[in-house]
Parts: sequence; structure tokens; C-alpha cells
Amino acid sequence: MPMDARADGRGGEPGWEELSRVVVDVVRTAVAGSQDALTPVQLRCLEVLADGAGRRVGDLADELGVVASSASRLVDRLVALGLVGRRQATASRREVDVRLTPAGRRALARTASAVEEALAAATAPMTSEDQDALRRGLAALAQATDEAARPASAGRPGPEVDR
Amino acid sequence: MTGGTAGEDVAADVDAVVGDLLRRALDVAAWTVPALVVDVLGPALDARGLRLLLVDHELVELHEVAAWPSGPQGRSRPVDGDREVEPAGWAFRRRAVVRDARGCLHQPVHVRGHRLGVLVAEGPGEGAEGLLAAAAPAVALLLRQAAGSSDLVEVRRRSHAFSIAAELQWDVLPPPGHRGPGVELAGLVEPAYLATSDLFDWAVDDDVAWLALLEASGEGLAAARAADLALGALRHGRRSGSSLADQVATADDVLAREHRGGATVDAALVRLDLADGTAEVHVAGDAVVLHRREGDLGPLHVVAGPPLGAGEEDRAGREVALTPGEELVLVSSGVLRALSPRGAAFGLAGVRAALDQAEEVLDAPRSVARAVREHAGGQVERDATSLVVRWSGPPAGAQAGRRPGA
Repeated sequence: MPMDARADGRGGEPGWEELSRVVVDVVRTAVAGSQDALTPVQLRCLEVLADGAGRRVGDLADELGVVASSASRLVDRLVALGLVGRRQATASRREVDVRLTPAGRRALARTASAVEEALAAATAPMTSEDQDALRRGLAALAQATDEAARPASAGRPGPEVDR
Repeated sequence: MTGGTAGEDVAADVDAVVGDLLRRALDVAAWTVPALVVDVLGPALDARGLRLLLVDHELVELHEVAAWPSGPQGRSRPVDGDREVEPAGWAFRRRAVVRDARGCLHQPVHVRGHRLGVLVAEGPGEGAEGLLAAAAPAVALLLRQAAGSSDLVEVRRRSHAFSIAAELQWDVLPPPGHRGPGVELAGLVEPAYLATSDLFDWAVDDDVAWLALLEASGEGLAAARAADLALGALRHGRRSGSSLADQVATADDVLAREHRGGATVDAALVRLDLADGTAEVHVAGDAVVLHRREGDLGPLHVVAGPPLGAGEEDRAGREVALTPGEELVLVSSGVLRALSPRGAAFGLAGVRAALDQAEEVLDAPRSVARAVREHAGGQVERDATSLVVRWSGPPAGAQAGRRPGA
């Protein structure tokens, strides 16, 4: 579909949704095509766990913005792949502890460099001015969303139960 | 079974109780065997309570899987710790019965060097030591048999959920230890629940002990499958009566044909003649064989061939003559190259210190795994595997007639 067919009312220029899809598509294709073939939500889960801290499934669900049962299935899948480790404590279900394994950290690093390479390749034909402008714009967007998100998450109470 | 109230009754009933336990345990569903064990032995010991703890695959924690009369509380105890603080862990580690300050008896449950856990009897009657000691090997055999047809025993002893690769690897791994005439050996992959690229194997037949340590290149399921294929090829050769050199050639050939050089497996292989202590050693790729004698540990110099799967015809092993009490230690690169947070390799010095910490061969790989884990800051980057074998002298000598598992 040609771009101008979906253009919004801003003088024929593509809208934010349309523009975001360009970057999202490059990233998604790179992630899916890399050696580990992670899904976007698997990648997000590994990124959350990358700080090395252990989490209960309920806490992880909260950080990912999904319901606990979805997070539980997601973790099951990553445990099966050996990318995430999970305590199987018979003592207390509350202690169930999810953390990134070294193999998970390596998969995350491989995927990140696949994304890096794909974006480098995609932007290579652009002029260096355009590349700089894109980089500056995305960095500004990252800062803006980071600042917007901070007050909301700071005082948020943790979940009381896993499920 | 009378559940005797006097010490003599407990002692006199030993054979009857163990026989009763065996008959009844083979009559019930496999998954109920742990519960049956404590239900039969608890009253027979004239104890206030009896708990069965099983060790996880990492040999780090003991998990309560059955208790009489109240049912399991799901409590877990660490294997490491002082005798006073962790009597169950101490009993497991040392394979020795412990009576703690509260009068509880902690009886290790093991058979032929295969260590499964600990029975903890609270306030047992007199003569309970004899009954527990006689029952423990039977309990170990029953639990091993039950684990073959039930998931419950297997799942309850786990501290961590297994990856698919780990399920595959634990299906092909032999028991983690053996103690018999002329030989003691033990092996462990760290971390057990993520075992992927490493495998070990052993068999003892006709005064010969065969040992193998394998380490596949790459990672994930591809590495696990390559290691499995190499192990299958080695076992096939061994069971067909092939020499060690021919076993190596078979594994090399099948890996090269299946993966066309895309998957290779480093390997260390030993054929130990238990009658005279002659060890034939082959090394393919980066696997390492160490020689331990009189407390000193050094590398055994073997001309290493290329890894299995390289399709190399020209390979050579070497022979080394062991004297009684000497050990060979096979380690994967994940052991020697494990890095500390500051970037220091675990190395030979790390292995030496870990082996010195171990009480006996059966505990040596656990000691190595623990030391590597601590060195690496809690989590090892790659599978870290060790396989230790000790030649204790010709079986016809002092070892002959020794009770299995004693």
C-alpha cells in the first residue's frame, strides 16, 4: 500500500502510527530473524530481567503489563528454552523466583546486536544529516517518555499475590 | 511388624521390617512409595516422627517429600553446613549417620554410591540405628525404581524447573556416582537444571571401568543434541565390544556425517583396567584430564586429537599406570575457564582446592561444582562438569567381598 493512501490530514504527511511502523517493522524482522528467534514479548521479558534481580511471576507480570497467567506461560516457555531459571521451591509458592540465566543473557545480547545491525543497514542509504536527525529525535522521544513514566511507576504498590 | 516399644524389639524386627517394606512398596503405585516408606518405618522405629528428604540434582538442597505421621511440610535443608546446624546435610555429605542435640537420627539414604537423600527420625526407640542402617539401602533402591515410572519423586526433589535441554541430558546421564570393588567414581554437571552442552558417562563391567566426559560446541538444543549423539555413538561402540580408539572413531564419524562439521564435541575418554590400574586415555578437542596422586593434582599430558565430528582418522591415545588410591579427574572447559566477577579463571588451582575440600570421591564433583559456582559469583556461564575416578587397587585384594554400598 503506498504511503500517501493512508496519510492523515497533516498536509499529506504520514501520521505517527505510520511512522512508528517503519522502525517497529525493522526491529521485529531483525528479532524474529536472529538466531534465537524471540517473540517481542519474550524479548521484553528478558530485558526486564536483565538487571539480574530475581522476581516473582506476579511482579514480572506487573512490569510487563500483562496478566499473571500470561506471564506464567511466558516464563514457562523461557524456562523450557533455558533462557530463564525458575525456582521450584516446594517450601513456598511465594518464593518462586524467576531470573535470567547466562544463556538468556547471551540470547539478549545476540538479539540486541541483530537489531543494531538491522537499523544500521536500514539507515545506511540516508544522508548523515538525516541519520543524525533521526537519532536525535528518537533520543528526545526516549527521554520524554522516560520522564512521563517515572512519577507513575514510583509510587505504585507491588502486587500482593502471584495469581 | 510390632512397632516394638523396647530396644531389643526394634533390633530383632530388622529383617522382618525391611522385608515387609520391600513387599509392600512393590505392591503400591510408584508415586506413593515415598509415603509408604515413612508410614512403614516410622512406627517400626518407635519414633515420634519420620521424614524423608531427597536431594536435588545440583546436590545443594534436601527437600522433604514424605513425612509420618503428619505428611510433608515442604521444608528444605541445605546440603552444606555445620554438623550442629545442618545435621541432615552433614549426614548426606559424609554418608554417615548423625544423632543431633534434639535426639533426632539423620540416616543417609544411598546405595552403591548413588546418594538420594536422608531419613530423619525424631525421638526413635533404642536399636533404631540398626533398623535405619538396614532399611536405607532398600529405600534407596525402591526410590530409584519408583522414579523410573513416576514423575512425582523426580519433580519433588527438584529445586529448579528444568529446561528442555536439561530434561534430554538427564534422561541419558548415568547415575551420578558408583562405588564398587576396585573403583569409586562420581560426576556432576553444573548447573544441573540447565545442563545443555556437557555430558558424562561411565560403566563398570568385567574389571574394566569406562569413563567419558563430553562437551558440545555451541549452545541450546543444538548443542544438547550433538552431545547426545556423541554419547549414543560411544555407548554403541562400547556395548559392541569396540576398543576405546574405535569408539572414538565411531563417534567422530557419525557426528561428521550428521552435522558435516557443523557440530563438534570435545571429549575425554578413559578405559581403566581395575585388575592392574592401567588407564588408556583419549582426548579429542579441549577436554582436560588431570592426574591426582598423593594430594597433588596436575594435567595428564595427552596428545589431543581434533574434536569429535571433525572427521579425523589419525588419532592417538596414551596409557598411564595408576597406583592404588590415585585418581583421574576429567573436567570440561566450563570448569577451568569459569571466570570470577574480576575476570580470574577458576583454573587448575581452583580444581585442586575443591578436590582437597571433598571428603571422598563420591563428594568430589559436588565440591568442584560448588567451588566453580562461588568463583563465578553464583551462576556459571557454561556447563561446568567434572568426572572423578579413583582406582582403589585390584578387586581381588582388600576390596573383595565388600558389601555393596557399604
